[in-house]
Amino acid sequence: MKLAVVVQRYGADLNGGAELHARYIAERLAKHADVEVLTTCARDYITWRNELPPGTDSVNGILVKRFKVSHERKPSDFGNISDHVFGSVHSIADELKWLRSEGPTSPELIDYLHQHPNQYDYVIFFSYRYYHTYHGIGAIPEKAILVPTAERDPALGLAIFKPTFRSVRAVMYNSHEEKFLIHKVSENQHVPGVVVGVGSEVPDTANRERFQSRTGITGSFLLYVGRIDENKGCAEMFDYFERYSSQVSNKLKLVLIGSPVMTIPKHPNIRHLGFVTEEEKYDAMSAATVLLMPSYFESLSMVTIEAWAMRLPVIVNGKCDVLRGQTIRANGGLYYESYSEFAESLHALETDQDLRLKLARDGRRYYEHHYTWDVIEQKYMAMLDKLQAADRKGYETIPENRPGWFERHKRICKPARDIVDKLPTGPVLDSVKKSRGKPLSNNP
Amino acid sequence: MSEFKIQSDRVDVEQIMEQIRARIKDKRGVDYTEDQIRELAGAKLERFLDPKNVRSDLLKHYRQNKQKDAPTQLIRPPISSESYDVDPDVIYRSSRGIAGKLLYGLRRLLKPILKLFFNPDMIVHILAIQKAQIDWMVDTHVELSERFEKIATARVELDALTYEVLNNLVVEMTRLSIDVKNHKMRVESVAARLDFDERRARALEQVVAYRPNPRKSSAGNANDVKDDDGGDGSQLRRRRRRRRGRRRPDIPTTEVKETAASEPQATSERAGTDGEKSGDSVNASDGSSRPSVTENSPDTSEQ
Repeated sequence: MKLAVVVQRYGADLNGGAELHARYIAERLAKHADVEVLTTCARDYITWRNELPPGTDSVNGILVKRFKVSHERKPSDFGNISDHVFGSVHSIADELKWLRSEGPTSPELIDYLHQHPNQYDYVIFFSYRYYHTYHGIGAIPEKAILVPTAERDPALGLAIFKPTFRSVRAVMYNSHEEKFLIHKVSENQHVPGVVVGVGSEVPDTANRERFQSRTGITGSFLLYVGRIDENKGCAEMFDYFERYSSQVSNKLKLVLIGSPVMTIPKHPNIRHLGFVTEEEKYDAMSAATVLLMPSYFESLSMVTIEAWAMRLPVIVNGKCDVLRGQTIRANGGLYYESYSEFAESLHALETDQDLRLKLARDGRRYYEHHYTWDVIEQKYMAMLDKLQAADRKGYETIPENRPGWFERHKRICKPARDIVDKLPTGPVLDSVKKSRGKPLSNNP
Repeated sequence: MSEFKIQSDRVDVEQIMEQIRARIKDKRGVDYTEDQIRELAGAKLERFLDPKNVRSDLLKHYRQNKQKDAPTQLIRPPISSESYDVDPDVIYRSSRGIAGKLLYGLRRLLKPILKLFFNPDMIVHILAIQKAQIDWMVDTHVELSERFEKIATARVELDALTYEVLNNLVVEMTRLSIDVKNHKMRVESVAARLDFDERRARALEQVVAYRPNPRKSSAGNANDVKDDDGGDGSQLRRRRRRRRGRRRPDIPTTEVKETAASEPQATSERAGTDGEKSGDSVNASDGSSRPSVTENSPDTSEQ
């Protein structure tokens, strides 16, 4: 079987969520099939500047074909057109303009797919919201598998993505909440879909003492791993932690791992370690008391899964449906929606070792049932086998009608933000309710 | 913050969160969500409830705003639509006197040629419709303006009333606030006095309870009396009892009863000395009347 993975950026040193996800999947599927990666020459996700040479490349043994980006993103233009399509009545043409403005606009990549329709058995597209996914799926819908990495953001309400979700062969969702949202937005229940996510492999050699001797941090601490960014809920995290330190407990420290894009407040209990190696990250997890995940928008938190794999309980932002749903399903931590809940939950985790151990045990069990690489690979291969079986029986694509010139220019599309705001909120817990009192199964 | 304990081996995150929420609710009283809190904060009720935060220059601001809100003049169209008509010939006419009439004639003559290029009748027809529509819009506009003017006038009057009510409320609230402050001070003063009285009463009780043996002191007093009058101490006691009996002849207090029961002889003595001069009793009381409470003390009853 020959597979292609199409993603906006690709590289061993790129750590963006979807890009890392794509790399992991490509490398894992390479054990079962012939995998190639089609991507752009960009490294920077803000400008999409061509920084890597076009042509073929090899990353960790995977063949990578890079295509040039035709123009860089202009943030001001993109901001204006985003305001327009998210906030006011607009046309399909406006949305397509938004897509071009967002980038990475690579017509060469799309031409390549048009010219080589039979080169791959299936093509796995990552991130629904980018140019390559929309036009790539348009080029070969009968072979397209989508990993949407969708969050509850206004882009999900754009009309152009409805046919994208409906016309693919299969959708590999990251979470139950994502699946629910996409079903609501596009009514694509007829498309085969499975909640997969991404696997995690943690080393057995993680060492608490090594972390303590390297950093000098002893005692209990709260760990945050990821980009230190206001968009990731870090401003609220600092505020809550400072209040907790002054009002509840001064013993707990906050240790930060990741590059900062905002000012980190100076506080005796906050310690920033910067960008660290994987080994150092797992050492920190083995020494930490609790992992904190303050993000409001996540389609899947890989760090949270890694924490569970490391038997570390978590405390997450309950306003993020995905994180809250995952935490409840895993029984692997607590969540908060206000400072009071943050303080009470954190205090419970800080003071009650028994509770921590039980949550860590359940988190680990959840990881073993759903997020080990064996499980993830099995799910992908099962889906691919299912599609192949359908192809052998003579599967025929039902093409989604794309609008003509006049249709595209009619201002009939509602503001995308309004559409997303009207979507139901909250975690999807049907499976949890069903499985209460029963052992966890492989199919959540 | 209290400790949190999970009893069973199995944990349920949702159950724990419910417990946490219940605990927060207990502490806070009302379980407001963040959004509700923000909404309440946004309303800035304190400004209205707390007279300290009400602007002292309210009247000035009100007057300024009133000037700003002065009702605008009624806007009417600059040209009345009655000053022109749209009839089929309007596009051919000219206003240049005789030359205009000639021009009009020429245009009428060339009208068939003009009709080869476009349909002027349709233009005139549309113009007529447009005029009717504009007339209707102007009428509506004038009507709406008049209505708005009326509403604006009513609003100005209402504003004046609102201001008066608000002003009265603020004044009353300030007065109430001062009253509350005065009452608070008075309560504090009464509480302080009560406290002082209580302490004083307690101190007096202690003095009585731990007073040195009154037998000795009364003996001493008796000796003094003996020195002065040549009598003995028993006579002094007799005199004192007589005085008390005379002061409250109709109130049979427990103390008196107890004394009578324990000292029957003294009672008979009191009965026998009723006819003595009051001046004697006054003299006797001068020396021993001060510690009258001493008579109620356990030591005295034992005598």
